[in-house]
Amino acid sequence: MYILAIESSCDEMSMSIVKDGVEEICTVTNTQIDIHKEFGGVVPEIASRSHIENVTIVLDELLQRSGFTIDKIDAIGVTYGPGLIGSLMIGVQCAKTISLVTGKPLIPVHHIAGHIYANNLEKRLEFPLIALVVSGGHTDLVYMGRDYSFKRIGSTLDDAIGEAYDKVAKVCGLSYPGGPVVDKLAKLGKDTYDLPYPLDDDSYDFSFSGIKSAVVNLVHNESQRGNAIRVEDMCTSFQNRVVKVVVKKTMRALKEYKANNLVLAGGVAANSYLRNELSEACKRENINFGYPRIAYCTDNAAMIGSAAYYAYKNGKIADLTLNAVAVESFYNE
Amino acid sequence: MISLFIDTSLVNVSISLIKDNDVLSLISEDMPNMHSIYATKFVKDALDNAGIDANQVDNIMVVNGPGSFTGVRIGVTIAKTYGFLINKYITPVSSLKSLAISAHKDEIMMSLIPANKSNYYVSIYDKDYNEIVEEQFASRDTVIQLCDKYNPYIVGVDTSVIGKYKINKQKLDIVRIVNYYIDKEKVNYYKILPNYLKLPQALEDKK
Repeated sequence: MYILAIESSCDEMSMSIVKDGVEEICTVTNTQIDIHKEFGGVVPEIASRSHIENVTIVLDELLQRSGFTIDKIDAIGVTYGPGLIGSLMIGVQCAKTISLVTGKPLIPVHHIAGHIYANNLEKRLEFPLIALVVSGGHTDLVYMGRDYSFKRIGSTLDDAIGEAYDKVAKVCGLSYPGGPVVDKLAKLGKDTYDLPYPLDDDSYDFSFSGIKSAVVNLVHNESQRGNAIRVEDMCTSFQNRVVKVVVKKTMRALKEYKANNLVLAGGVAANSYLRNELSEACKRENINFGYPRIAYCTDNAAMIGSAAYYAYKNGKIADLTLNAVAVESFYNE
Repeated sequence: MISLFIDTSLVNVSISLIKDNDVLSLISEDMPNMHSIYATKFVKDALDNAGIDANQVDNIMVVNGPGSFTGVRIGVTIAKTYGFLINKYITPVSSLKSLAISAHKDEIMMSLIPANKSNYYVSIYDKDYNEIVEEQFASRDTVIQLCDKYNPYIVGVDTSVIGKYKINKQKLDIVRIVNYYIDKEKVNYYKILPNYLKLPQALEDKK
């Protein structure tokens, strides 16, 4: 089964053709990162305007590069949320129109399900599993007993992990997007700043606003005293504490839920320190640990095409009234 | 010659199939903030009502603004995707000129659509719908000055007043609009874009 997948939830317009949920045939992505850099973040109206300029160009390029005609596609999968509403809408309207003109089924895909299924493109998911979803908008621990069944066991109470990384980068004067820069500089520094550990308790929830505020206050106090911040040391101190707590809670979840498989998902899955620490811990505990290649960590339509296949198998089909939604929980709680 | 007309630029969603002077199907509903849910379905309903296959459409016409940014993008995305799939170029239709064409007066006409705050999208046409004052985003004061200068028949989406001038509510006459635009220039489906007439706020702030 060939699925044409569309992902436009933020500043990337991405389309992909995926076979049977496991094989990426072709992906075309138009990224706007340079457009938004000068604003220090994604400007929703500018993202929407850019998406509508690119939507048919990306579709055309995908068909040309893959050598597919639209008739060869069996279904259309599309991210309907969560994300920027104006951005999502372009992808959803495009997907609905393709379904309307071709009569092919329309499959609604939750963005986070897509991130988890990015792992399925590397290696078929094995169950039961725990997924650690870490991105600019999410920090969730998810239990999956089978395909396309998601139970959230813990989540952030305030900022998402990627948000905290970006904020720390910004206050340290680093460029946008800050997460990868913090990760890189953390390798060069020492753990010298006495920052609080973020919600180091018995729950599976996370909280990053405390450590974020501690960094912000420290930087401001030092600058008022005329002292320079040792940026590398700040990055190391921040990253060490955040990753330590995340790894600890993830490993505990695996044990308690008797899951022998861990997958990492979301934009922050590209963080090298988090990958290494999880990898070491999983080796010690004999857990199968998988994470997607960098290209599948950031927003892309291939992961949506993979998730769409299993959504379809589980009877998730939308009609032409499918709407884009900015906030949506897909967990069966 | 079958034309598909799509307008999602304002509160009303209008989808119609027109063949020469016949309305094969017309769906027109007021639905604030629900365009994204129903616009595509209405296109399907319009085709089904008329018993026409999606591939039998000869012309795609879409109102590409000015109007609600999101609303316009919904219609334009449908039109350009549809056009790409059936390999037909798209006719962009002005929301302002549509009002003047529908009013069809033998005098100078001003089309007026409320924008954010107390601003408007405005344009002035002669009886042959040539632009005397080009489409623009304008303040209330500018609009009143234009009224003072041209004393036009004012058409809008609601009955109202601006200063001492009366705004006449105008329903769209889709057959007239389609026949006016039928021989106008078409745009490649890659290139057709919303006519916003206004920069995003983030860029306005940078100026």
